[in-house]
Amino acid sequence: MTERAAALAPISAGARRTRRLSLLALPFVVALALVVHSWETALEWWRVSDLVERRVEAGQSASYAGADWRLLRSTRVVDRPDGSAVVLVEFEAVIRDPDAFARLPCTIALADAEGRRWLPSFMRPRELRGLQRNVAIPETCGSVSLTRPQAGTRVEIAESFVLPKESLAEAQPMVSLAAGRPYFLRFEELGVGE
Amino acid sequence: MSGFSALKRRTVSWIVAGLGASVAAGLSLGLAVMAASQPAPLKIVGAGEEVDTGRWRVAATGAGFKPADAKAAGYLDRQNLLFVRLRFTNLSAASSNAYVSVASLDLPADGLEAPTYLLARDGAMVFDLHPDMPEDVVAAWKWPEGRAVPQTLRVTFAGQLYKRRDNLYGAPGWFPADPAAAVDLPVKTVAAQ
Amino acid sequence: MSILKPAAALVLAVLALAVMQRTAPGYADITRPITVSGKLGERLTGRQFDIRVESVRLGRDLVYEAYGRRQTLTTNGVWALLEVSAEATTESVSIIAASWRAPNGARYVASKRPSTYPGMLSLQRLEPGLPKRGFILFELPRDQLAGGTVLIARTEFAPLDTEFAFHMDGIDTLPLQGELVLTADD
Repeated sequence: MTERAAALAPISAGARRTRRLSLLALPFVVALALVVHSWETALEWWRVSDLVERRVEAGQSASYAGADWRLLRSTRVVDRPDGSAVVLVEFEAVIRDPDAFARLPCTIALADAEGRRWLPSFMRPRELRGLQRNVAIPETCGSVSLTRPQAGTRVEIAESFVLPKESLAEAQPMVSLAAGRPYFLRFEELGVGE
Repeated sequence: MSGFSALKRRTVSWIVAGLGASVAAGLSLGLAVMAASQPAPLKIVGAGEEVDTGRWRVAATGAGFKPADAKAAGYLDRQNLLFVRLRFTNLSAASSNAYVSVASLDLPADGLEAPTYLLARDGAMVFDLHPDMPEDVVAAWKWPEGRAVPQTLRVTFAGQLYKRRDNLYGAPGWFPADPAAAVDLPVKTVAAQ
Repeated sequence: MSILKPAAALVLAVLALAVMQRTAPGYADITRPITVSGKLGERLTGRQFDIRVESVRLGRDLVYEAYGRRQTLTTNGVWALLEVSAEATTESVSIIAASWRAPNGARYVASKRPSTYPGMLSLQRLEPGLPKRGFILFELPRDQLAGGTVLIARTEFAPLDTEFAFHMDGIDTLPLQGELVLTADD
């Protein structure tokens, strides 16, 4: 009987204040829980995105992700009948930190002012032969990373792209490596020559 | 004194509350143990009889052996092939290529590669089988040179069951279950197909 | 009276819990792609590409030429050949996931059998600024043509990515051709 009376008695002022404080703290606690749960995912996203641009002026070289990068040349290989152009972009990289350089993925793309990106595409065998070159076909970024070049070596990397003829003037090469993200390099010069 | 009776009351309610949960846990464990200790005997069916394996309705309509034809154009025709004709109907709600794990041969497995599945209709490769579209397929195993060809073949059909929510992600999926049935087929040696 | 209020509260609580348990979205629903719907001939815009279904043809056999050889694909049901035009908007992309959702809920994944024909949509690389045409092929039972929806997405498991849903109205009234021929200039 005394218990029943105790159950029906009004709540003490101390208990009421504790309840109010707990309710007020609830939004903060929920926010904290969200942060704790998604902290690692957010970090992962930060490391994987290409967010911060580093411009490289024409002819200059930039140190990025364990190597010194320089744009060698861009060649307009051929125009296809559907209104597109095939472009071959060549870089040189002098390796400073072999481990950082070798970390995949390695992305090279052409990007225009609006942020549209063209990823590397294969040239047709006929177009490859049409390149006025006697040298062997330079390798792509991925295949060079797999060979794990030593510090101090100079490697040549080339990627081919297919993009509309109208976008040739605006598109600029960009390089993004796992070790350098969220930064990425954007080369100012395209200078598409023959 | 009132404090002690309150404690006793609380203890009683704790025990009562825990009792229901313990009974439930014990029951589910006991049932699982009982089910595992008495596996259902394997059902043997005849050739051409359809078996429901959960995701597929399957019937084995024949088996055979085709010796290698060195002058044949196709790669498969140049091998010794032990084959089984099966009719599959996809009972699930999506196209699937999981039919490759339904039929298995009851043979010592050394040296046998995974079989190739071909459409019986035109010999084309099969990719997915679609819901409610029965297809006759041929499962062909490359038979090693010099190995004796069995007179009869036992083909076992694996079963699958569908869970709307699995134990890991709560996502729907198909999971392995007990073998559904087995069929004994005589092996006929045939010429080129 | 004194027992009614707690009893009512208990019943209400049980009801609320039951409703919550029944309507809780499963893992597949939480990670479902975001649907953009449209009709035949309508151009739809998604996260990475725009797409439009240009035409649908029905036939019993599919004939095409690849590597100098004539290939014929047969079926127990019906072939539905879709021609679509698509353009990447933000980045180079390939569209490889397409399925037909029948009125009874079954999903018929696009056929991989004509994988040697270069005009198939899944083999096209779409670059921004360069629209392209491609084919998608479905193998369907005759009775699942009416009221179907074609679902097209970039990849098969595309959580929270765009999935285009084209309602195929009036498909069952199309003529059923004997042979559908894919020619070299398609």
